[in-house]
Amino acid sequence: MRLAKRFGRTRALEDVTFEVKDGEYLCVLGSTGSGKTTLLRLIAGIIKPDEGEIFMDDERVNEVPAEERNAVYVPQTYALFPHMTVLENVMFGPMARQTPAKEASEAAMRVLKLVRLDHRADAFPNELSGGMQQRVALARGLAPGFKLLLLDEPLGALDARLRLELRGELRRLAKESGLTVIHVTHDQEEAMTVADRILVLRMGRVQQHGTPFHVYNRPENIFVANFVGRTNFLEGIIEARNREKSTVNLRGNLSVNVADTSHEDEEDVIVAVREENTLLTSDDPGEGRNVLDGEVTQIYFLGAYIRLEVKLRNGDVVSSLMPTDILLGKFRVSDRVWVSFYPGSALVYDYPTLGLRHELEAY
Amino acid sequence: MPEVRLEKVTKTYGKITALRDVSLEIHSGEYLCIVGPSGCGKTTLIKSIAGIVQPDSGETYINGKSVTPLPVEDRGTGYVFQEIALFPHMNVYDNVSYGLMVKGESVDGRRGTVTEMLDMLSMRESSKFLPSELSGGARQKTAIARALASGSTLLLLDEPLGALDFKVRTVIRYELKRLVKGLGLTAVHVTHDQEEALSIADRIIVMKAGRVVEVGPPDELYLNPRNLFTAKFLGEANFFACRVLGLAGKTCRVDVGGTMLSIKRREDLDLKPGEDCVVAIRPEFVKLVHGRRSRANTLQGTVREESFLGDARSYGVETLNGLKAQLKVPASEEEPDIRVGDEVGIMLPEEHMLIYRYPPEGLEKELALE
Amino acid sequence: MAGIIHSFSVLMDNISSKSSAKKLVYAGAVFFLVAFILLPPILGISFKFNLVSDVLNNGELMARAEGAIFWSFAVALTIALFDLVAGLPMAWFIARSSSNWVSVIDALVDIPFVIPTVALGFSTLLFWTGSNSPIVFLGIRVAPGLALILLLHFAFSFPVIVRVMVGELLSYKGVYETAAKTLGARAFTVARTVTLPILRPALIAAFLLAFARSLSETGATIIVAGAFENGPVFIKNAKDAGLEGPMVLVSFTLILASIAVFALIRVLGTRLKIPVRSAYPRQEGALSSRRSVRLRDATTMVIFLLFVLIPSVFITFPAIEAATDGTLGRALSGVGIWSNYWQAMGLSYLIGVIATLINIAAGLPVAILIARRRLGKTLTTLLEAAVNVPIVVPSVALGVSLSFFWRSFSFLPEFWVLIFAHTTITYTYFVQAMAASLEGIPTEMEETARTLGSKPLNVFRRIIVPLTKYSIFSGAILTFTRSVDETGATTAVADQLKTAPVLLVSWVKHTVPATTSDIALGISFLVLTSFASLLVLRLLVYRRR
Repeated sequence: MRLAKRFGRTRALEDVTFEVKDGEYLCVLGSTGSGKTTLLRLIAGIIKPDEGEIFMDDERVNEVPAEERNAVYVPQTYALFPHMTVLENVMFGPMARQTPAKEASEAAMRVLKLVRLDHRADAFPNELSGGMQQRVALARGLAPGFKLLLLDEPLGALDARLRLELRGELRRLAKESGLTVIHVTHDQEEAMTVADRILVLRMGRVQQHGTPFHVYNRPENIFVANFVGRTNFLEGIIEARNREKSTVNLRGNLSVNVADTSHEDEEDVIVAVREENTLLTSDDPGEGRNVLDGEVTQIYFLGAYIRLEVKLRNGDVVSSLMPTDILLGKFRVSDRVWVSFYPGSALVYDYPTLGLRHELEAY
Repeated sequence: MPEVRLEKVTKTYGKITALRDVSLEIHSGEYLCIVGPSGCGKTTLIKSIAGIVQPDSGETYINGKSVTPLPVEDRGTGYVFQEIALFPHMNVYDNVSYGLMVKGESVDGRRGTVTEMLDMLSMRESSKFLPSELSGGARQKTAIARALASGSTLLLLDEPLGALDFKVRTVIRYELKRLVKGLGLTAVHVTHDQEEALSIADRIIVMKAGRVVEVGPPDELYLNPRNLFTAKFLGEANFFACRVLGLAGKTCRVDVGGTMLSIKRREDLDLKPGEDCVVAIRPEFVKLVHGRRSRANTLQGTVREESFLGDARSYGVETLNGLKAQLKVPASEEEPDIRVGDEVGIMLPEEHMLIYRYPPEGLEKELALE
Repeated sequence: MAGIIHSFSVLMDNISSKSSAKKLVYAGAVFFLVAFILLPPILGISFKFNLVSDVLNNGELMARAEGAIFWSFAVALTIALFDLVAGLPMAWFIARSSSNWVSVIDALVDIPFVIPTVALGFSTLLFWTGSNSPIVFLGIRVAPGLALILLLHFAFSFPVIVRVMVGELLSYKGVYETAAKTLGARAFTVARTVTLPILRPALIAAFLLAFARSLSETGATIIVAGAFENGPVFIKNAKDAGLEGPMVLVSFTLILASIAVFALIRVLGTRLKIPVRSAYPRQEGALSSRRSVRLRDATTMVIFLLFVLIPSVFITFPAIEAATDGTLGRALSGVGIWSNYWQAMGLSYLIGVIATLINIAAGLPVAILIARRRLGKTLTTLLEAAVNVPIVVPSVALGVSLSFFWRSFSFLPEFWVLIFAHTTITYTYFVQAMAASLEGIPTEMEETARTLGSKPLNVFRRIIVPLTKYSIFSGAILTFTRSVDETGATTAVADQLKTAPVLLVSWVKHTVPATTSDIALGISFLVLTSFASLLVLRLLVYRRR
């Protein structure tokens, strides 16, 4: 199913254009107010765009009412019908399309088996746990046999730990059933794990559209670099440039080399380095890398990782994220350390007109 | 600075037992996090410290004094609600000064403390706004300021960051801790997000089904959890059923699906040969080994799934003897050289392996989150 | 046969998808609202407006008219205030107390609300003025007139306040109060600084409802008025004397003034900022103590019993007497005045059923429009205001206007004029009840159902109706009961036909020879049927819980 959309000025979305391929699992990533729920509802047909067109399978569907769009919408609250049993909920879609009750019931049981809830078919929604309710909502969405599934923060109502467990199942289910899924979330870890491609939204505009690998390693702007993954940002000016690298002058006259050569001399820039690419050593590592010295100001234990905050000589603060078994017990607050990164690990962006702080915020 | 002690506190709601004989201590000045799945009783626990919920049995002491008979308004604990619950008809300033007003402080008398609080949380400019005019993060900060301004030294926080977006949460949580520590308060912070707890807590209490499962500092609970559920709940882990083969010195040998593995022995667990047990290892500690060299604690298998996590890659490997293991490998920027279908060796380092007695109700039930 | 029904429903479903069909249904309902509910009262008055000049020149009539209008508002405002002050502690008790008596008191409080006002009027009359009354025995006799009207209105508006406030207190999120307590506030301080300010819209709504009820009530007021005149009494007297001019003038003024006062109170009430500046921990702590609470509850109960409950049910004594002294026999066999009575009862019920059915059909689409805000913010507010007009305006004034309007269609029998009048009066109740219930169903449920492939009519049938059916029933029962109880508009409209309550008023006023036993019994039959409706309502509510 191919979907293309062009919007003009709606209150929530502006000029959003993209395509979704058949069988693709697309995650729309953005914070509250980015317009991601509006996007979903537009595709579902619940609201109409002020401008622009929506195509499904090359057919323009702007005027097609929601009940005829063959796209199922699952809201964050699941909206399970409280007066119907699990089975009746799941049967609702097929029954609404005139499928005889017996067939509908069989189709429903098949889907319930898929989500492993066939043994609770006679329960009422309020008797089930959050995770189970979510699976019923999914089953109900799968039962009519539509090819497009629109999920609004499907794991949002669940515990953090449960979310971790269930996200793989979500993707597995979609792939096994051959569905195209548009999954909206504000959790970038979730998006990275389940998506074939990610669409990053901010204040109604598309920031980037690409595979997780692409969005993570080649973020197109500062917002994406900050929103996806953990990144250090340093302000500087391009000092010199040759064919392979540029030299950037940071605050306090610290110099680093970056592999990016697209910026002009004297240009104000921001250098961005992922925290896991910001390495920490207790002595000078020598050639090939950019080395900055500083003092450890904070140590955070994150379980699989340890994160150290370092105040550089020039006053900038950077963080280094490294696996626990490498860093554990090695450093203490106020230790002197060397922070380093490879020129190739650094991304360089134009200095934002509205200032760095503004770019880092989601709205 | 208060020290809180609970002794055998129990609370039931009809057929559901929310708290079962819970006893614990909270030290002065510490930042304590309580984690657990939905329904484990963590919210009921802090509500009973605050007096919002009256336990059916057990005693609660604050600073050595029994507060069990005292109503909410006399306990002097600051509470931040999951729903935030700012008074909708009062602006930020009035909300924050409520606690002092109620004690009879005059308008002038309150001003100093309130402005100080607002400054600390950078809410000074928003002081005339109504809650409905604020963003989620601003409301959260106001709720915290309100609890702090009332003068209590014990802060109880129920999912204080729950209303915030993912990214915002990861930044504000440190500010929160910094603030609490800076003021010298004791905090009990309830959360279902184990990463949040790991990153800011001095100590963590893990709860499940109304009971305290384990208590300890984050690194200890993460790297050496004594309880199976703790291993599962804080972070991710692979679990394999096994049988004890023998014990020698500091090592324990187990049989996992036909392969022998060496584990670092646990002094507090008295295992006998032949006993059923469970071993666990976190995905980031499982190492990929190239080639088919036979090394200790190495299993051969095939890569079945692969996913990109940004700073790492996750692989699902199925070993020759039928075990399913998840690995986490730091990512490099180039495309990886391991693909689905490749044959690989995985090494389970002895020092990172954890061992537990096999749970009487079965492994799946013990690890269930709901 | 099943096949035909099936194909028909499929056809209807498909039609419902078309936006034109939907628009037609909604347009029809709004047209009904405007053409049958709003316009007739406005136009009716204008038809006879020329008669006003006669009155303006008559000094004595003008003085009476001005007095009547003034007293209507004075009484209504005073009563609403007294009831608010007395009713709030009662509402607090019912919503918050853990006493075992709560459900009993809760049921008792409803009694003056459910009993037809005719019954309340006569019962009040007997309690405060009758020779058999214990109060009179003690030497206190309140003669018919202003004082008795005040006592009567206090009694029947009391449950209105309590009902509204109990509902609000129960559904109100307790977390605000808990938050205040964790900050150290005592119960009284919490109520004053947090609960009541947050509930201010509800307090205003309750006040306005009590105000409207007092302003509008006709039958019982006539019974206890004696020589005193407020608006409704004046209109009735003018009608009996055949003077249409005064009727038009007073009705017109009442309509305009009530809309103005309503709007004023609504707007001022929400705008008024009463800042919460200080607290008095010691004094307010004392007021929160168990002793203070007990004192408060005791006082409330005494006031309730003495001024509300007992006067309302006092009629049971003569009713029991009537059952034993032979009146019952005469009543059941339809002798003399009783044959008219049973005719009147039949008429009341018939009108009630028809009016209810019309309101369900015409009101439901409007309720949906309001609940789902389909027309955008301004139009929805306008619609809501329009729907509220029939209860804001005194029913007798409405009746006068309606009768002038519909009688100009001389082919229309009086029966149908009565139907339209009752439909208009009760329209608001049904629409408000339905809108509130519909607002409780999240829109996402409908949206999701549609994306699952269900056409709008199917969504309505299989999702909305099952989830709101209790509200539909209780809205219908409320509408029906209100119609049976109605005296105001009926008094203005009816010439030949008499509904039961209006008939009973004429019995009390001795325009028809009826003994006290007759009246008591007649009223009791009416009360019993209302009680039956209340019982059904309660059963529905309890089943839901």
